[in-house]
Amino acid sequence: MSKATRRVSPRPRDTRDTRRPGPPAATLRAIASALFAGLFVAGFALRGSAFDPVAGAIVSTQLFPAAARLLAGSAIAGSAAAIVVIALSALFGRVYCSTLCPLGAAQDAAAAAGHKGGRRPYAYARGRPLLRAAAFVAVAVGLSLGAGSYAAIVDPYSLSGRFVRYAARPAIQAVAGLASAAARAFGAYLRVAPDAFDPKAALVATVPVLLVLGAAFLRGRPFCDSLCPVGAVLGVLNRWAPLRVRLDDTKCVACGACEAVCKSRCIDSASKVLESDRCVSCFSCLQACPTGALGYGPGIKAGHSSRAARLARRQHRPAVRDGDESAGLDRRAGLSRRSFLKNTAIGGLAIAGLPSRSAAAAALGTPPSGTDVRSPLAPPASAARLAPAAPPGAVSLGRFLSRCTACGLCVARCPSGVLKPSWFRYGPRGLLAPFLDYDASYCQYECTSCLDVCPTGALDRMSLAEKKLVQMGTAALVRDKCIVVTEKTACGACAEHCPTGAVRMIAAPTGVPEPLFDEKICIGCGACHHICPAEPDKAITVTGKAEHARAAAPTKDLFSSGGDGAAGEAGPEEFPF
Amino acid sequence: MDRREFLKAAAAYGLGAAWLLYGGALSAQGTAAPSPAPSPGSAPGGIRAAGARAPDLVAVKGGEAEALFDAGIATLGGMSAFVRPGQSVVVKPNIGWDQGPDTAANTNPGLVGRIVEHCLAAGAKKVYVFDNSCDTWSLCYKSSMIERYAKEAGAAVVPANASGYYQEVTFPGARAVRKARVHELVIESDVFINVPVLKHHSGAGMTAAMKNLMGIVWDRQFFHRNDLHQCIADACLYRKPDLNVVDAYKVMRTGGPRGYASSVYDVAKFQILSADIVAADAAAARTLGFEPSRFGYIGKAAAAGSGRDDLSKLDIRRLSL
Repeated sequence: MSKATRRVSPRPRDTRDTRRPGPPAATLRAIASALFAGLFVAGFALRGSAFDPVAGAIVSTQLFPAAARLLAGSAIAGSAAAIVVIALSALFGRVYCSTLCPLGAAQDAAAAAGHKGGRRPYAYARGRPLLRAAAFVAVAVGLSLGAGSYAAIVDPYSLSGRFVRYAARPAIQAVAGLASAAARAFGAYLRVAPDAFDPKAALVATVPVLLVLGAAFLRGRPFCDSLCPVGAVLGVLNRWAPLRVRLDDTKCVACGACEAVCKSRCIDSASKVLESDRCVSCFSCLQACPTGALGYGPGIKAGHSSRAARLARRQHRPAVRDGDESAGLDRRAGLSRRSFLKNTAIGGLAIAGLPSRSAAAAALGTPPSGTDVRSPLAPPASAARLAPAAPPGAVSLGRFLSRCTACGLCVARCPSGVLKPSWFRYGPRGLLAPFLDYDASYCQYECTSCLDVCPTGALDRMSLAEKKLVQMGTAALVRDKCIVVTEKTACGACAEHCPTGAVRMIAAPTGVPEPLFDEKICIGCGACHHICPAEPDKAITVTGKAEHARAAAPTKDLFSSGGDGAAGEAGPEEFPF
Repeated sequence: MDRREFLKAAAAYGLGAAWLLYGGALSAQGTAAPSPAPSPGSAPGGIRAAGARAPDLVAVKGGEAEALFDAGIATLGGMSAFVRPGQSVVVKPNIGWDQGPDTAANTNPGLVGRIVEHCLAAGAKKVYVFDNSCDTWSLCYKSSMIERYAKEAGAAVVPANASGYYQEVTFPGARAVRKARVHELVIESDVFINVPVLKHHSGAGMTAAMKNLMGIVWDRQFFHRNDLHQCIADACLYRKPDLNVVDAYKVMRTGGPRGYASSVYDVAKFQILSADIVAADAAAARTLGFEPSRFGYIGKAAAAGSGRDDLSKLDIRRLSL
């Protein structure tokens, strides 16, 4: 390649072509990253409670949700894994970005495609410390003040989770559906029941990821270097980490081999400088270096010049290198233009979601309640008239919406499919935040999947016994619409499905038992709402509560008062017939 | 169809026809002869006709659910009276609720496993187990432990949560459910074994054999909307099970079908086996402590000729272990 010849270096031409086996660090790193990303995708894309602990373990390493948890004052125990990750990052550098970050893995794949597996070389580019700092401050302030979902616009974890759940999962299920149809021809008995596809959620989840991956395709890892709040923190740590990728300028011959493979574009080989804060420890350069000037390890080697000396030397480096093809200036200009466009697009997305009130009021204001929650954009479906119910553990809508980053993990793990991403049901702040869609299903009484996996603390962890008493909402029974009144035929679907006995059938003068509703023990699970067969409007519907409450425990004498529940005569004699 | 298959089918239909004539002659003195629903590929129950006359209903008492079944099925001539070698069998328990076996909200898992074993021992080529559950199917299959027991016994436990499993069929003679989408295993399998659990039911009063057939249908809300009792009675008009095994080992007497901490139970250690789904429900009603006439669907089904609800006219075998 012409690039290899542009250096006036003393390096013999042929060393470049002599590929040394080198340390397998880059390969190991790539394998670890792929494995981790695969488990991440499984956690968001596959059903079955067997994947709950997998998803929980994978996600517990993610730093943004852990930071959200800690900032919200949740117990440190829930963030233990993330704290370990931070400690390891302080020791081993920015390895997180190249192994544990799902968006990092995706960007690496996009960058590899864009750079033809290394045949299109990278070139050093200056960092964007101001943009990075501004983005970080905005995110930190937003997160601290309770605008978690806005802050999460640049959270690599939430972006990835959302994308896998709302875009990749439907695609995977479509393929699985075809595969199962084919397998049936060979005797396998299986059909795939796809989740209901939500095109709006898919779109919102896909656009930012496409922007990030598009940038990666063209330029390596620009997102990690500019907008990523996790990268900003880890970059600082990497600057001081005892173990990190180091460039020994006494061995460096400025051949540019490392620079050509550096997707972070943080090695200025002409100046023999590696900008540690932007290095994501992918180790590609270690294998590329023909002289062993690049190493991963501790300590300053004897031959290392001081940081001051290196910086001094860099001042002589022209802003745009003359030998750097004709594209140098254009590319740099293009990059800033592109990142400007990208920022504008992302900002536009955020602003588009702001309410007609003010951005600050929406981000930080009082929790929406009742029908106030609806925006003019909400669909006119009958259920939309009801206030949305937040998942158990949300405590209150205000608290929930300030912490939820709409990563989609609870939606992915919910076995019944009752959790759905909201489309302005909570207002713009809760775009894609989960709510219980009782038209789709109902909350399973014996299940705590959503609050078990929630990584941000938006859903409080609690025991199953406690969760069974959380009132997420409450039912309302309209007798005039009830089948037993309108059709005068037996029904009881609501009472049948009610897990607490809050709806139960009692004897009525008509001879057809009627439902009776007891709000005190209703937990708002939506079983009655979901199963009510009345058409066109359901006779029993569940409305979410802005402040979750605690239900009374079901009493022991629920069924002592006769009605339909009367037991027959005492147990069968020898044979009752 | 090769020659062997043809011979098999011919033998099966021949035996079925013999049963029709024989059974019809006997029941002429009672109600109209219940004719087996048309079911492609099935040989309706017929093999019993070849041997001695089996009782109409067997009631077994005083043992574990598995032992009750062992004794009951032996009295009906063994599983080979229902399952011939090479046939496919679908076993339909009640797996409606995300509840453990101790709540008796679902069919006893040990019983399901034992039935699967009997089917395989009789030479069944494949035994399927499914239910269109009320709570989320994956949770129900697991908590009920039916998935585990049935798999250990050698069955294929298949989901029923995708509408693609269900095909629209007509219910001849039905008043409310004229057409419905039914699980394809019920349509395609050679033998259909219905294994409900006996419970109080807040909507229908009692759930046993006929009510359990709501789990072979995709749209259960239709039943609730269109006269529940008539729909339950209609549900057996597409295909009546070849054998009904009513699990009354532990009977939920109040708070059904889901069950609550306050539900009243009766450990009856009881089981009812019958090829007549109406007779099975009539006997189940008595076991729950009620007259069959209390539950509208039993009378409606008997009137439609789906079976006999007058227990006094049935040949009942009573066993105590």
